[in-house]
Amino acid sequence: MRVLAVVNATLGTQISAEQLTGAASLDDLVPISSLALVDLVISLEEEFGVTFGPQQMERSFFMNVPSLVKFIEESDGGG
Amino acid sequence: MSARRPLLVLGDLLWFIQAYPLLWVVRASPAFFLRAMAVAMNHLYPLVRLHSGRLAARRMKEWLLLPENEARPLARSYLRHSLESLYVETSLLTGRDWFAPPVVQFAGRENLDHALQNRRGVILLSVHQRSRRQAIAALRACSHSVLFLRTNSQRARFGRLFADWIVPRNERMSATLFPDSVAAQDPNCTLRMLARLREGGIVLIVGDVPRSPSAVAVTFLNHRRSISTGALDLARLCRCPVLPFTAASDEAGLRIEFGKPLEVGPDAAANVATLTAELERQVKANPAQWEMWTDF
Repeated sequence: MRVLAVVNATLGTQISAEQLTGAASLDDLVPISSLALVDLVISLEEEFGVTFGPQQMERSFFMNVPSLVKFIEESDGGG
Repeated sequence: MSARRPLLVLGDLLWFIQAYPLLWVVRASPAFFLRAMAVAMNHLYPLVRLHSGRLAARRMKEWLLLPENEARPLARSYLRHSLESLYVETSLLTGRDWFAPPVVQFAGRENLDHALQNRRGVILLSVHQRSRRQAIAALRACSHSVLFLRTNSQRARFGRLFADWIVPRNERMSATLFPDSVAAQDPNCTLRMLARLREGGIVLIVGDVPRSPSAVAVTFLNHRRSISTGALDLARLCRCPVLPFTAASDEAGLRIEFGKPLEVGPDAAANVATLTAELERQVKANPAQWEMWTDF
C-alpha cells in the first residue's frame, strides 16, 4: 500500500499492513510527534499530488489510515 | 527526587485577586478611579512582589553578568513592566480600554513584507516579552493574520490545593487574552500552524520555553537551560522564513521590530546556535521586559 510506504519512509518505521489492520489508530503502533505529523502530511501531499484542506487538518484524520487512503483515492491520488 | 509542591503559593492568591475582585473593580469603575488605583499600585506592587524582585535581581546579576548597582534598578523596572502587563490584561479581559493604548512604531517592516511575498507564510520568533499581547493586536490591526502558539498553564506554578481549580480557568483566560491562538498541548497545534502558514499567514512562536517536545539543552544567558527548536523545525518542514520579532514599550510607546530571516540550514547544531544567539540577543536588548526572570 503506497500510503503505508510513505508513512514508513517518513517516520522511519516498518509497520506492516497486517499490523495496521489490527490497530485502531496509527499512533497505537508508533508514537508520532506533532512535527513528525506535519512531515507526514507534506510527504503524503507530495507523493499523491493531493492537498489536505482545513477540514482534514486534525490529528485523528491522519491516524485513521483507511479513511486517509479513501480520501486520497477520491482525490484521484491513488492508494 | 523533586520536592513536593506547597499546598498554597503566593501565585494562587495573586491569580485569585486578578481573576475576581480586580476584574470586577475594573469593569465597574470609572477610568479616573482606575488611574488613581494604578498610582497606588505602582507603590504597593514592588512590596508585594519583593521576593520576585530580589530573585530577578540575582538572576540578572548572574545571567547578564551585571554588577549589583545595575541589576537592582533593572529588577525594579522588570516589576514595573510586570504591573503594566497586568493593566493590559485587565483591559483585554474586561473590554475596558482604561490603560491607554500605546503609540505603535514599526521597524524592519520591509523584512516582513518581503518574507510574506513568498506566500508560504512567516514564522515570527520571539522570547516571552511583556508587550507581545499589544504587539499581536497591533499586527492584527494592520490586517495581518497572526496565530499565536501559547503554552497552557503549568500546574507547577500553583499550589496543590487549588491547582485543579485554577489551571482550566487560567487557560480560558489565556485563550481570551490571545483570541487567535493554539495551545502547544493541543494535539492539532502543528496542523493548525501548517494551515495558517499555507494561507500566507503569520505564526508567532516563543522560543524560550523549557518544557517542550523539541527542547534542547543549551548554554543560555550563562547558564544551562532548555529552549525549543520547534520554530526552526517547523520552518524547515514548511519551507517558510523565520523572522526575529521584538516588541518593547517605553515612554514613546510600543516599538515592534522585524529582523532579517534567520539562516536555517541542514546543520542542526548550527541552527541551535543561531536560535540561541537570537533569543539571547532579544533578552539582552530589553532585559526588563523579559517575563521569564522569575518563571524559569
